Amino acid sequence: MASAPSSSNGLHLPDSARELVKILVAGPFGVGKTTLIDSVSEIRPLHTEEQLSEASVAVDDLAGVRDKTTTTVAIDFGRISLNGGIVLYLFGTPGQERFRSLWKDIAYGALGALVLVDTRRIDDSFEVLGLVEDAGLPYAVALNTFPDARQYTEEQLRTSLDLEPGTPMIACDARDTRASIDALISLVQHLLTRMGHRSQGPAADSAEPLPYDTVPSPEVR
Amino acid sequence: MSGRRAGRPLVPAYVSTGGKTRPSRNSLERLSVLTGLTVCPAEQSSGAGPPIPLHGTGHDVRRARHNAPPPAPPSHTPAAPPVPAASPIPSAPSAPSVPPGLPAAQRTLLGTLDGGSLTVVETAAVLELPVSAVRVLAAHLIDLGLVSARPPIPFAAQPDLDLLERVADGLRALKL
Repeated sequence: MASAPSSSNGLHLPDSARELVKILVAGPFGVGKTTLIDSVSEIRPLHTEEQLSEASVAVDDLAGVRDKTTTTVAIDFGRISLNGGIVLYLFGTPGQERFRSLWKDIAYGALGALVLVDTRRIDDSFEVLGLVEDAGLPYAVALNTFPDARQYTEEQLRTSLDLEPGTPMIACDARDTRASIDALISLVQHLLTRMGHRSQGPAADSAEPLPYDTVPSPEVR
Repeated sequence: MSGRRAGRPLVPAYVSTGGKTRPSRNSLERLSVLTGLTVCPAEQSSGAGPPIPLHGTGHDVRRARHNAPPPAPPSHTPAAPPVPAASPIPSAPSAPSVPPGLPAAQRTLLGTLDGGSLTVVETAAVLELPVSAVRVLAAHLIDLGLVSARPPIPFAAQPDLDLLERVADGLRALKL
């Protein structure tokens, strides 16, 4: 990704933009968050430099940052304009415990999270799943498929990641626009299903649980 | 998390906010929409704010003028002639005038909005400032009536079923 910041040319929101929504793309370092955002964003992904407070660094065990008073992290984001004046923002959110202070702020108002998992480094995803769950965000898991990854069964992965049965888990090549959009769609469908269940009542006429074909089975065998 | 720039800014963000670390209002989210209610006369980053590099079409003549090499010393006095009110701001019958003493960083923010709308987080990315600093700067500009802000989703605290369905439909439409 190019490092030069963008000017505001071409960035201005159109007048038709009415509702701005946010989905987090969460995962450990190097899992492909920015790649996924880049593959679907209509703007070249931008980033903000966020400062972590000293307090959050102090509890961190990173040897290199101990003597710094502040440390910064770049948060990438992209945006997609959808029909009907909806603008969807995707925030790449780092999954380490030391970013917990940032999570609250970034997750505020988010619809949910797409958690990217590299099956070669499953252990790296535990921290981010913990953060997502602590933030109370509904989520779907997208397995970023790397060619040299070991093949696991869906059952093995679900057990290893300790996923609830209803949590979608899909394979997703983050470089592929359609695959990335599919992953986002599964997440939003999951959100709809959850909300449908929650608002099932006499007043909610449209809240029938939708007949989604449950969880798209991942291509891992 | 990537795209770390090669060099760190030498000027800490709090300098751009005049030492303030808390915004005067707490309602600004990352996706709150900031709209410039006026255009800044001759915005120029002579202070703490980093210069805004120009990419793509230089259709903005006013800005292109400032694309010249290093920013000239702030020779333009605050009494610079205001831009005529022919600016496309429908909601403002008369665009508010920019106070002469407006700090450079706030001027730069106003110039970035350029009479249009940007989210807080996009403004932060363009200005290369932390979101927290933009909150402080924007809150002051809102207090001055130079910028308006609206929440990301009007009239709703929580996304509802209808909105989620429209997001899903919108994503599906992208694949067509």
